Amino acid sequence: MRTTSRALISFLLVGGLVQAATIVLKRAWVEKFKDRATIDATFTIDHAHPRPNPGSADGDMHVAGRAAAEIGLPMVAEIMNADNKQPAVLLVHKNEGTSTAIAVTGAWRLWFEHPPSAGSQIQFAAVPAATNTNPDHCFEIHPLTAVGPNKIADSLKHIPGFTPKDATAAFGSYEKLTLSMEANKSAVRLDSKKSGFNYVLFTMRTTGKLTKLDDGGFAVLADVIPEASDDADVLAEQVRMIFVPGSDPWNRVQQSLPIGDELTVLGIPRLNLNAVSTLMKSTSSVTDQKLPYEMIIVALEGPDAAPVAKGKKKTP
Amino acid sequence: MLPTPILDVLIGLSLFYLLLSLICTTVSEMFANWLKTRATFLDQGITRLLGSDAIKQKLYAHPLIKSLKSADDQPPSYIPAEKFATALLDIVTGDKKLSDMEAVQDGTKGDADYQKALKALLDASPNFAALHKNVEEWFNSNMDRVSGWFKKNRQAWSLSLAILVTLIVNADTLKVVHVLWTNPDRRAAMTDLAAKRLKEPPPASVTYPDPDNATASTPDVSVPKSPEEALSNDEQQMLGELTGWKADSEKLQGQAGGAWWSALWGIVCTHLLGWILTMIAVSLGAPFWFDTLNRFMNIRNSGRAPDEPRDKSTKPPVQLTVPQANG
Repeated sequence: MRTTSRALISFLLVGGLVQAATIVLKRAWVEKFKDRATIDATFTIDHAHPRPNPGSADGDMHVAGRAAAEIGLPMVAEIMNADNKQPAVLLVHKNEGTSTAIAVTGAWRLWFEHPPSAGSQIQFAAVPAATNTNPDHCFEIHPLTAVGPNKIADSLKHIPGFTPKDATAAFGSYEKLTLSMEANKSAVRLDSKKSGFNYVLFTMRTTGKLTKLDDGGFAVLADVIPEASDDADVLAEQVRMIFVPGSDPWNRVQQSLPIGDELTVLGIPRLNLNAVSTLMKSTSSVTDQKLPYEMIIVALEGPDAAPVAKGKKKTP
Repeated sequence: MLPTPILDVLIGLSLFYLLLSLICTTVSEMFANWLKTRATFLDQGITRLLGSDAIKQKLYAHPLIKSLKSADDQPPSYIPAEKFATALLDIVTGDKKLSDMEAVQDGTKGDADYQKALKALLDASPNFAALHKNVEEWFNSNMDRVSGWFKKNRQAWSLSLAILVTLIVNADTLKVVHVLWTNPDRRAAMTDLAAKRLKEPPPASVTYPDPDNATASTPDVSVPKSPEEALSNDEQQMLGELTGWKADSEKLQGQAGGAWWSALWGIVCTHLLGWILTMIAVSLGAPFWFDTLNRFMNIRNSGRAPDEPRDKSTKPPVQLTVPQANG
């Protein structure tokens, strides 16, 4: 009897232990951003790194803050290759802790990378000021493409000195992530598990044509392989690849991207809200289905990294 | 930490229920596909929504919806709200421009349900974009009801199949527990199978049927085509060893008349409680048993999976509401 009780107690305890990170989003918000690469926000900066991370650590500058009107979630924004974007960095520091909001634009990113250790995050509930540069958060604007008047979409490029995550390990992890969802008429609750693996180096092999997104970005469906090769194992199939307006990868693909073309890129995963939208329209709840994710393409790598002038087709 | 034999019995039992649930799910999906249950429910929902068979046929014939039909030209099993709204407004406006509000108004002159509904939505819409959005919401709210009918239908199917499968394969929970408790080799084999099953990727939720359109996703309703496909060879073999009528049929052999009936009654009485437990458990469904199996395996792996956070606090249920905001 005692053993049975212990079994039940352990079961319940571990039930809590494996509870997923939870966010509740407004359905209308999901609909608005499901087919956009980026988001515009008026961002109040609470804390920022004194200086950008060194290239070996990813070269990002982390900025914690709030955008109550457009996002309504605890969040951080990150400048890629920030050492080369001093005007943007200076503007961040100038406004840090002043409660003066500045306009920012960048790739929105929902990912359960830094979920709260307890409880859930509910969109448009009151968001307290961040007390450090990395508060619990599932939402990021990462990478930023504009900070105030500073256009920094060209910061989306190779990070010198940084060792990217391995594609096999990263996509092996993404492909096993699960999502549980419950939706009603106004909100959708999403439960998943904590996941990392930012900045992964991989080769995408397109399986379809480019689709233009609502904000001028592009999406394309592609298979993921570890490196450019005809007979490489496919690590993930039919993943949406997102290209951010104004970035080098965006310039490259809008010139030419035939079906079957291979590009070696650096990418960051995010929740695929287009899939979430379809899911919540087709059913009110799902349990432990595959987490729909997509990749924000933040740099061209390897042979594809050569800069491409706007309007000129890259020589093969 | 729990004694390992108890945990292994719980793991084995959870896997046993999971596999039976997967068989039920697969059979249920096979019937749903064969009977076109999804398409039938959607068709009934659209009939009630539009209140006119003629407009429904026009809708199905519209190129935006026609492309969603199955190969055998049956009605679609899923229609995105955007496509429904565009197709319906296109039909209503006829040869005129889709966004021509006056043409929409002309199309709402009539007594059919869809015309009355469109008229009300038109009155509440300041422009075409708002009207399109309102038609989408009208469709979605009705589809929520269709989903409810479908869900109830599937729940009834699940219970019926749980009863049927339990009796056909003679799946007796008490017998399985006895076998697992008394046979350490069997427990170990079941635990290995459970670990393999959990390593398999989760089922896909959404798919992009048109590779050239990266914004047109649809729910992924693909399922194994047969129970054999849903279970690995090892899992099929294990299920075969834990279930079956062989031992019981031997008890009936050589019996005749009253003795045969008496033996049969004895068999039923022996298994009845075990059968009922199996039926209840299997009717809970594969996702429940997948989750339960995952939890027991996490306990076995020192109480924490490698990719799980270390936090041990339990979370309260989350209310599914968002504050009113300008987001």
